[in-house]
Amino acid sequence: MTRLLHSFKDFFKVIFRNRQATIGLFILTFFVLLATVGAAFTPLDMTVDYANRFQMPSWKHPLGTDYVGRDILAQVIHGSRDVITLGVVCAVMALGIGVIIGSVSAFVGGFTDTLLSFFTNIFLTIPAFPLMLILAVAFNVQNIWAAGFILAIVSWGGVARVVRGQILSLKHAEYIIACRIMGLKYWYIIFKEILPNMVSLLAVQFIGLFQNGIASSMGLMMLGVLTYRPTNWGVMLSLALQNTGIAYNPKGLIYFVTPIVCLALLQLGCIFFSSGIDQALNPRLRTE
Amino acid sequence: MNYFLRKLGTSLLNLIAVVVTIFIVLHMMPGDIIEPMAREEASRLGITYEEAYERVADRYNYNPQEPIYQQLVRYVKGLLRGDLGTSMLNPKNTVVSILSVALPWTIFVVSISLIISFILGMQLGALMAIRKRGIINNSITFYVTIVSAIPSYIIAIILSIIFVYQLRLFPKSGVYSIDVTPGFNMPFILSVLHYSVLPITTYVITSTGGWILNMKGSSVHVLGSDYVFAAQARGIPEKIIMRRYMKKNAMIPMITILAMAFGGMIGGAPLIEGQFQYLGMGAYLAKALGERDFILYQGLLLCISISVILANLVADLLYSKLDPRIRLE
Amino acid sequence: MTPKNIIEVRDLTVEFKKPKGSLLAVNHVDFDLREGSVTALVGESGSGKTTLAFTMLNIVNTTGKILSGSVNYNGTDVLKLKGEQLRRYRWKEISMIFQSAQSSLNPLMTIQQHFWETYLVHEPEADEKKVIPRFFRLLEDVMLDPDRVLKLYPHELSGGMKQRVMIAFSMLLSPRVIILDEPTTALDVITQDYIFSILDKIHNETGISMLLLTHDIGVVAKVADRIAVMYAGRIVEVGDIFTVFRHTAHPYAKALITTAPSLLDTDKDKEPIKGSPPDLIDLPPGCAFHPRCPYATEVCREKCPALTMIGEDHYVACHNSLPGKGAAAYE
Ligand SMILES: Nc1ncnc2c1ncn2[C@@H]1O[C@H](COP(=O)(O)OP(=O)(O)OP(=O)(O)O)[C@@H](O)[C@H]1O
Ligand SMILES: [Mg+2]
Repeated sequence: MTRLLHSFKDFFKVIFRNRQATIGLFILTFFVLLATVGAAFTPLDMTVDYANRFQMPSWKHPLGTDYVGRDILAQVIHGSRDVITLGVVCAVMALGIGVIIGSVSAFVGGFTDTLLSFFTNIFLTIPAFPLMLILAVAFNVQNIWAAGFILAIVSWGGVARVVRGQILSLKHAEYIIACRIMGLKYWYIIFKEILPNMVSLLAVQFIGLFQNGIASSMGLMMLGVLTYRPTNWGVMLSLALQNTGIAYNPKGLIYFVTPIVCLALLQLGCIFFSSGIDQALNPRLRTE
Repeated sequence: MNYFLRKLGTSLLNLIAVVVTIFIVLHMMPGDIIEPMAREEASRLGITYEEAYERVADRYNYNPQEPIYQQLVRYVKGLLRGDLGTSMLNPKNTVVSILSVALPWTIFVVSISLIISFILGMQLGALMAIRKRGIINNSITFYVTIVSAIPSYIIAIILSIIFVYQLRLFPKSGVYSIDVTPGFNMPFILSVLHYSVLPITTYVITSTGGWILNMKGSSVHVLGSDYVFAAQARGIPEKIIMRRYMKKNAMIPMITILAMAFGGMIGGAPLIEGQFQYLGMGAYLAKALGERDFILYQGLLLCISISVILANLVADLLYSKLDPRIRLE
Repeated sequence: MTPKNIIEVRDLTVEFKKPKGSLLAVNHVDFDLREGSVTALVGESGSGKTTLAFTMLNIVNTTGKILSGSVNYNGTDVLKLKGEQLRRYRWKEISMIFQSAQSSLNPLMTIQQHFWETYLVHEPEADEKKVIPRFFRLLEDVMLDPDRVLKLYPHELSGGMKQRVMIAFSMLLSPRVIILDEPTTALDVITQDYIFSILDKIHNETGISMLLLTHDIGVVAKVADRIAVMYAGRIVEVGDIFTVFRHTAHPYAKALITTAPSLLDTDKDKEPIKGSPPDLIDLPPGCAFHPRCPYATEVCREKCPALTMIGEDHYVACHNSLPGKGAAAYE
């Protein structure tokens, strides 16, 4: 336990030494707080108040109101919970599928490997977004779990490929071979030697999946196939486009820009954090 | 085995697998999409429901009442004849005829964008690797960071608001003006270019960043290699080293990413073409989805998957041409 | 008559900055390369041989920095050359076969393209047709079939072939000095012998000066006529090969020579050098070798010995050059 605590401490020490990673972590933490604490303390009132539509920012409505007079800030805050949960669900599922397929492929080898690699390749060939669209319609997605699953199905391919490659190269690394010669148990080697070496790789993959999941889910919402909650940033954006006449109506600008800025910030946080992690945890990059 | 034949074989296998996968996905669709059409047709033409069902199923080359393997056989047979069924909304439009109208535009826009962003990315990435610091480097880094944080469809939206609706510099929809006659004439070509500027710009803005980063990494790697050092010791001028040694070697791994980038761009087409109402594959995909025209969607999806497979093949060929370590034979 | 020096290195220091501190890979080195000689520079891995050799071409690895000193080639300070002058000096006057010879060719160019490119950047007026016979001759000199080899890409050559191509390549512009950095490490014994017979032949025919970097004393005995021993960035002993072998004065050089296999097969002296190689970032005070030296005295721990002449063409940096064996032998 203390060892775990120690490595936890080490991890943050390494992160904080890297400026990019620190900024990234800061942004991500901000959004997580927004989605949990922020959402808990902000009342969401979705009743239509036509008289107060398109209000400018004020104390009552820090970001103004939307096309039917609802508070924009509250929507964005509640939307963040939705967006982040969906991103995490998608990333966890895709990482799970990818790691299982990639590692089975690498460890078992032979025909299984050929078959699984071929299978992976199919999912890397069919353009992900259109496939996602049709799956979302086919499964008539109405909740976060289903949405996460759809996103995961089309995005595990890259993970599987990377994991497979990494394990194969570790498998032939000298120290692993030394472990085998010393007669250490297979599972022991996997958990004690191979997995720790893949932590940074998996972390980077996780963030990448999270980031892509969010971007694609917003794309799905724009095309109207994932519309289960109006506060989701993607839905906000598509409502802004449909209902505010944004091209000619400067009053709708805040409603239109807010989800975009939030999305961009969240993505930026992911990018900074993951490149920071990569620099901090990847021994190859760390030496320079 | 011959490199090319092997790659061709892999592509074929991949193609078969993709056909089957797409087939399966489409058949997971809940409900029977033929049924309501058959009912309607039966009452309209005054024939029995069974007969109408048979006719409708034949028209779309899709019969959900058959066992799944029989459906697959029917589907593949159709494919081999070049028959992808017809649009469910307008049975007069065969999927193939829609493809033949839509595909060229998408291929045109995506390839031009790919070429521009690839070349830009290679130049800028190499530049960044050579100069480690400086204003140029910082501004490129800034640009790359910003565009990688903004999804392409948002860039499309912003561009269309500014240039289509506010400034009215570009058309709202279509692929060329109705005033020109298609053919090899100047007005037509200019019109085609005019209509494609915004989709191409969107693709270029979003995909150049990735190329820059990849090329920079690869170039830094090559710059640290023994043969670059050795070339300096031979008194080869820096200019030649950068061009013949660094850039060429650094670009080789980039070739393998080309096909994937192509796939990514085509995959994003529903949103981007949809936004500009540029009538290529993407716009039709979005339309077919909106209208739940699954047979059309299936054909379009299959077609873009095939173009990705072909792009892979082309990239492999290019790779073997550029890298002598991989011999064609 | 004193023989002429083609390269004179004076007070040269090269520094590498590492996270843990700075490291002097070459530490106030004076070194002469005699015209027409084959000089061997020996020392353990990490002693600074390659770094010293690089300065003669005025190339330093990215992170390295020359802190002091000069490298005189025929009267000009190579370290002061810049731009076009430096570019023309490299390979034309001094060429080098790298330790990493196996990877010092561009994978995307054929051998002929390499040869022609280098020739052209030094002789811009040249005509490819006219110089091809020269490429042929050079490759024939290293016993390769020019017709075939010129058309090949680097990956199509075996290790031994690549090494020979590099030798031919280094002779391309008829330089006056050629530096060979461990030219045979990656090769089998028979190929090694073969390479050295080729080098020997080239030396005899052209009288070119050679600097051979190696840690293989056996090789030195076979081909060199002068030897310099390097330890922790310093030259500790230099001299004529026979003198140094017969009257080895530095304890480190002595250990190096006696522990070499197949040479002076006297079992009694044959024990490996004690202790571990020095940590260049944290060198011991005084003589860097003293922790491992069986003859170390008080002064060795305090003062770094200077290179001093102890016999005709024989220099050593040691406070008490081997009693009864080295300096004493002259008395
Ligand atoms: N590019 C570099 N960056 C950092 N340190 C370096 C670099 N090149 C050499 N060094 C350091 O300089 C010292 C001398 O290295 P050098 O390559 O000159 O030794 P060497 O005698 O040629 O060894 P070897 O027999 O292994 O080739 C070593 O301690 C090495 O760590
Ligand atoms: Mg060396």
